[in-house]
Amino acid sequence: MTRFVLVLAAAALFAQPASATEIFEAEGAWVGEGQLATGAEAPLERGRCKVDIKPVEGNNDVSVTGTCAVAVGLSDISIRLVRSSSGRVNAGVWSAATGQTVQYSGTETDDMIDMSSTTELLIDDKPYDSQVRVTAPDADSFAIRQILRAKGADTWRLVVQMTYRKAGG
Amino acid sequence: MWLAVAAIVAFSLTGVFRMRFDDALVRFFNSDVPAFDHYVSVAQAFESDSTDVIALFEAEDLAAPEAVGATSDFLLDAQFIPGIRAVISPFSLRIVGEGGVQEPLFPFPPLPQDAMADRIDRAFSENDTLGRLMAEDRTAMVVILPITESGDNPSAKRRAQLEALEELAGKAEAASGMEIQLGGYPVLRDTVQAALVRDIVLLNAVGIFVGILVAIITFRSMRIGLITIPGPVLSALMVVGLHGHLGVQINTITITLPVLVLVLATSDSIHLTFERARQAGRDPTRAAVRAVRRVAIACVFAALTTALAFAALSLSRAEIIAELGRMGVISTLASVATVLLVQTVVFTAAARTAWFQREMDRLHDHMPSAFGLTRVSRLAIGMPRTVAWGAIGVLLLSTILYSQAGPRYSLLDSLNEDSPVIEVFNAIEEKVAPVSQLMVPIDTTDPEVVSRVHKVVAEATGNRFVQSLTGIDADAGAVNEALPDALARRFVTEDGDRTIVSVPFRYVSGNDTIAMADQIDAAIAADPELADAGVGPVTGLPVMSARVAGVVLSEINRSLIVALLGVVVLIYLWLGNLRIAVISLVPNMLPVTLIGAWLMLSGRGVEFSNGLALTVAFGIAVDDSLHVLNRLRLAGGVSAIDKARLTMAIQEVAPALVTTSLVLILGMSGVFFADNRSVADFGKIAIAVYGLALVADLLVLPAVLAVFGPKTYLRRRRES
Repeated sequence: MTRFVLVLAAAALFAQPASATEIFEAEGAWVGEGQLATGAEAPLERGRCKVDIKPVEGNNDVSVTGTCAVAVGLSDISIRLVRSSSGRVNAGVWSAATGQTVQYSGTETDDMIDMSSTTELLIDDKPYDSQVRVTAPDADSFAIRQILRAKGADTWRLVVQMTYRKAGG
Repeated sequence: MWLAVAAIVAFSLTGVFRMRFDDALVRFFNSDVPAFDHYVSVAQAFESDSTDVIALFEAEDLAAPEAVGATSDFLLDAQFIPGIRAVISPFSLRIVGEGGVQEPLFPFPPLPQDAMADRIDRAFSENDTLGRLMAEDRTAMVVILPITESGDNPSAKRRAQLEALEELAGKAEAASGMEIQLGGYPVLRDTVQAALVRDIVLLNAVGIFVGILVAIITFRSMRIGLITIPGPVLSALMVVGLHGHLGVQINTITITLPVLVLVLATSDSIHLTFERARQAGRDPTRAAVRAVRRVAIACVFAALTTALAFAALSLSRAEIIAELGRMGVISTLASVATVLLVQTVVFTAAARTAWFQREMDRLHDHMPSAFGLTRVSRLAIGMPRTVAWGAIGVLLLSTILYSQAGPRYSLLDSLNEDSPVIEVFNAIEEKVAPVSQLMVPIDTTDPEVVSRVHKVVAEATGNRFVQSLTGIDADAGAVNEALPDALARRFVTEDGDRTIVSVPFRYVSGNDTIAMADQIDAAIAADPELADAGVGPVTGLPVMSARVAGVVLSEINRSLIVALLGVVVLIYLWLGNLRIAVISLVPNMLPVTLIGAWLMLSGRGVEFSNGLALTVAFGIAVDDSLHVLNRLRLAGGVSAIDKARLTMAIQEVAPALVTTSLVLILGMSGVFFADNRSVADFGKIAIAVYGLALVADLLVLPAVLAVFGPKTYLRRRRES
């Protein structure tokens, strides 16, 4: 059986404008195109995400809600992203597929956000670590790359490779 | 009286704006028949095919990269449409890749065409499921999309989802050259509903136009033709308004009520106009009232006989038929009151004008002809015994044949055979695989029981696509955890306590479906290992509908008998002469039994549309007999049948009978252009009944009155 895992949630997490650091000013609908893995060990397959970004408080707190789909189904996600003046970015990510909320923390630079999970992600009762990198390949899009590895393992697996553009753009 | 007319207009118009349409696919079968309750309990616990939109994708080779890419786009975007609960497609399937790892059957980016073709061919040999979704020659595949049709205004939700899917299909076609068509029961319901809206406008527009035209031709006056129409139009409008105010939705069954009322009311109005012309020379107001008083009794009894036919239907165990019966009773009675009131007002008002007086005088002096049909009556009176006994012989023979006509039902009866919906159904089943489903519910998820039922069902049907927990090698818990609800409910209940074995099959007709369901039930009952295993009878929309249809169609036939007997009682109460009441059955039954015999001989059988049409049209067709008898009564010829009075009564009433029959026949002719096949069939049968009824009343009624009537002149002559 195929299990639609959480990684889709992370795929939507960084739906942000051209510069990876401008997400806190971003608002509106974004569409992601790329590949997703539907499980920790599952192969990558084509996926599409649609998310809505809304600022919550000022320009340092943003809410991201949306849905990611692959051929076998879709999953809702909800994310709260907060940054501090010191350049740290913290995120809480919930996914309907796993029913879990995973915490992420990392740093923000001019052209990239790098984050790592600070709480365990459980898939089939097995704990995983996760890392996410967001880049901005051109002025109208940004790309997300997420990797995953079992706790204590050496090798990372690519589970998300997705490029976002403004919906309707 | 003007105030009363204004009140009726206001009531009707306010009701029209509250009118709603109902596709009635499942509600049609809402009844106390056990098969319906069983289906509802299973359909609530499990997911059936009744909400599945089935998209048929066709191309020269679906393994081509552009086809794969466009299909993938469609599948991803379709899931974002609000209400679409899942997608089931070949793209959901996995194949064992290099190193024994499960991979999507359709990888991304798409493979070159040859490589993809090889991969699909290999999947066919490894995975039976692919055969349910794709043709082995890769020219066709199906995508199943369960949609949402619940909550407020489900039809609007369904339309929005179908429109969004059609838009996506259009994009995919443009991008790839594929052809994509949408099918399935939601599309069927959507099509039926859209057709209902078109049909109700068409039927009533044609009815009004023809009513005016026939009246103008008959009375050879545009003005007289036009003043014949206000009562009938307002009657039809009021029937629609009644539906709106009472919250009764117009469906494929009740859609014909307004036009039936329209033609019946036009018929009454024409009789009133004929009688008003006979009263020419009297004081205008008294002439109008006297004309209405002389004809009203026949109009009221005609409405009563029609209402009686509807009342018989209101006893049906099927809610929708009973609803038609109740609305029919209310509509016909309200209609006759309306037409009598409105036409009295119209005649009184028109009588103040000089042209009306002139027209009435002209009509009085030169009554319209019966287009030569009085010769038919002369034939009857010329050789009454031959005609009467011949009619009785034909009646007996046709009754025997009619009694042999069995019930016939198909879920697709609502649509014409060349309807795109039916073509898509057929194309899916011919090119890919059957998509209709039989469901065998089991009160346990015990793998041994499920496996046994799966095996028995597969053997009994010879079907390799039987679907169950056994087929996907999973337990109830895993299915509920891993699959979205719309897919998991195709295997287990939400609580994981019950499961289902389903069988895809090609839907042909209700009778074939019942035969297959009985075959499965028998195989399960014959297996000792499944005794007391909690296996329920086979169900599903096709099975339930066929079983309920069988019961309801038998009821409709019983309703016809009740209506026949009711007419005898009504005529007896009216004329106080049992002999005439019984005799009048001969011409009134003949149209029904002749058409019933044709249904049997042609192999069509009794369907909902023609069964209802026979009952309802019988009630209306009795109208002609009542007007003949009324004319005989006015001539004082009921207690003893006298040749001169009988001849005079027929000659007097024949023009009105011919004219009103023309209105009934031509007024219903809009059915020939109806989008709903059941509406068209209903109308065609009704038209045939009206035509035969006219011949029977001009030919058979005078003959049977002359031969078997009370103190008839023939008997007196023989005795003397």
